[in-house]
Amino acid sequence: MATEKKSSAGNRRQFVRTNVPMAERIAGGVIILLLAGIGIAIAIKGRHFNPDIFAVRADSLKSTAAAVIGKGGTALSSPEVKPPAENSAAEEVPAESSMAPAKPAAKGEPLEISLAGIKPMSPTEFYTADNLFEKIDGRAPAYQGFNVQQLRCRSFSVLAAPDSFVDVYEYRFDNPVDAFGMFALERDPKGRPLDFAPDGYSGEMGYFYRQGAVYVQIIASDTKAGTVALAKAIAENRAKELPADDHGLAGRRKLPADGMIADSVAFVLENAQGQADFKDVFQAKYKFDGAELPFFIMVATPDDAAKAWKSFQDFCGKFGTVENLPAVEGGKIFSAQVFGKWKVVYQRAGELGGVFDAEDAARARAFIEKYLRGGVK
Amino acid sequence: MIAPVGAALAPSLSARAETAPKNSTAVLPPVPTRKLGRNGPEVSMLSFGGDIPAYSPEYLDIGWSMGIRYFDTASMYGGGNEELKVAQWLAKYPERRKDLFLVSKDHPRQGLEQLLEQIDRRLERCNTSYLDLYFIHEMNVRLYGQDSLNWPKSAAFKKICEKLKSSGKVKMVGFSCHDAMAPQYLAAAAEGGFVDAIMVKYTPFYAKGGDLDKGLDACHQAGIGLIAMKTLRNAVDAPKRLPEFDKLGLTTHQALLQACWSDPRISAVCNRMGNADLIQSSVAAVRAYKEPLKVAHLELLRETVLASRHAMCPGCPSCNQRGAELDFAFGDISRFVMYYEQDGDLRAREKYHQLSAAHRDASGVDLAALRDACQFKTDYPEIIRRAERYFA
Repeated sequence: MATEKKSSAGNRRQFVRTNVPMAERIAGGVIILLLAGIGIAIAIKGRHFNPDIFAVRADSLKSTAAAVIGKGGTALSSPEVKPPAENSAAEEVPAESSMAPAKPAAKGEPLEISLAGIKPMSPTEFYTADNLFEKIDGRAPAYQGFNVQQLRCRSFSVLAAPDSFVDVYEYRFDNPVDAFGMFALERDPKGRPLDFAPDGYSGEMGYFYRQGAVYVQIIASDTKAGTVALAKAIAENRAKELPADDHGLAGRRKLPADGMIADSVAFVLENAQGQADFKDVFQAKYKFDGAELPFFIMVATPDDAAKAWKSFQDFCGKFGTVENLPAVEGGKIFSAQVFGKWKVVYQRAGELGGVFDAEDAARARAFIEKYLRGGVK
Repeated sequence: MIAPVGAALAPSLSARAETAPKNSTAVLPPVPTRKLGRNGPEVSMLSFGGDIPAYSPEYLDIGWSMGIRYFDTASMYGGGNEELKVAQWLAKYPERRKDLFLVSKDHPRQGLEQLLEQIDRRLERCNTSYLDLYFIHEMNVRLYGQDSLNWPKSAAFKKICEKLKSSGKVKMVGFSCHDAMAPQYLAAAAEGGFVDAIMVKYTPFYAKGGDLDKGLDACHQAGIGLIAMKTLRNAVDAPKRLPEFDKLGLTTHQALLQACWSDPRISAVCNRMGNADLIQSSVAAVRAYKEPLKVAHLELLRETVLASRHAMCPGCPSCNQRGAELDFAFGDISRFVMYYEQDGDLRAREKYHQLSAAHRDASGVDLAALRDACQFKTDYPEIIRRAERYFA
């Protein structure tokens, strides 16, 4: 039987178009022209392409790559990127984002630390409030909330331990009160107080404190004794180098350290405890005789302090019962029970303070009398 | 820094005979009430609300002992902790819940349905099984999109309101608004007819027949309860005493509160009473209110407010119209300046930075023209300069 090779179309007849309508021809021509035009446009654009848009800028990775070299021993992503020269002010790299609109980058003095056992492993980086998110991501709005001006930061490698390093962050705010505000917001309740910085604490791997208008964070890469010791040395060094400025924080300086619950310190700009005369007030809770006592201090002129004391006494008299107590070391005192809670309030020269909303009148009074006698440091 | 509102009102204490209970056990009778909307309950004409640093159970004690039975709070107040103070207070006095009109608010940024989830969080935070009034907080196009202009008359919102109320978790539902689009939101609410109450930025000096006035009228006629807010914000720098009001035994600011109550459409004034003096002064004003102020007194108040420095327009037709047209959020920015200057609220900076770059960009905007067209001559060129100095 003869075999007949069938076409793929089976029994259907092959169809060959012989007559293409003019409109279709024109449309085809237009499409071909358009494709050619697009190709030419791409070729022309390609000659003048903007590297900021289409290419990775290797120099923008310098600081990151340098940090990677020292921190993890990771291979460089680009052979062109070199680690920074040691202690060179000329190589400071302003932080710039290729995505951010062109604007002058923040610059400043490089962060130099003269201590044995460390060396810079990256250039100093600078960030303003506008591009702070590039460094600290979602934490930036909180810093902006306190009017951060600049972040200066740098990493230092530990010479004795190649894999270890210490990061130094210095956030400069517009004034010491704002620096304190941000510091207080981030405070670790488990932190241990520092002997070289009153507004500070240490954690397992870091040191955190406010010095003047600067909030300093020194963070070790690990918990090795040598690394942590160097982190502490750096923290002490920065505390000495940065100018002390407690403007607006007079009340904070007066808050005693004995028994203070570290994460309870708060600053109230005005209307503290709902009193129109209470401004720039610092508050903290204290452990005293087995109780927790909320305590506040305001520093003002003697006249203003006296006026606020009297006004508060009147207020307590309206809403509760008031008793004048014997003066202690020049401090006049009243005790009041208002809405079931106790207040013991003193005024001495330009200082007004007291325990408020205490459950126990005797303890509140004992704390204030001891404080006025200098027994609570 | 400008003196806080409380300081401005402080002298009123000496002018008032009856301001506070005499001892801790005494509680003054409730302040006068008005019906909130056609079918709503009687509520204190003075609401104890706003984002107050001194907020605490003891602070609420002061308000309660002064006779205020209407507490207003929100998810975001006090850094998210203000509701917890209400909870502590309610734990202290559970028997007072039935006499308290409690309001809280939330931001359903992901859409109206979110209100159904958020209410549980609000109840938990406030330590209560129900809210008397539940608001969408800060109704505006920037937060909720252009579509939100239709929410107050949409079937979707109506259904959610019904679900909320039928669950027993909420007695009334509404929204708060201090946006330039307030007239549009009010008009939509009046058309929809199912919103129970609206808290709106208010001044007693609105031009009669203007869009906002029409919106208030329409809502009032539709039986929607209206609560005024931001009523004293434009008079912080006004003279504290004027002879004409001395004769009535009122400070300028107390007269201003009474001017708000002189509008029968307004059920209550939600006043951010940041200190005890302000609470006492405001309570004295509501207790002294007997009848609407005379037109001459209203006119004197208007002139006094106009002549004083104010940080924000209470919402005149011109600013409302331009606010709806422009990307530049001059209304919000001036409000943040006001929070920063009057309240010392450092979070105003954060709010400013949460605006998009376009909403902060004043280039190409004729600020002087905005000021000149504003019914209250709000000095936008100066306010925006201050905003940039404080926040930018």
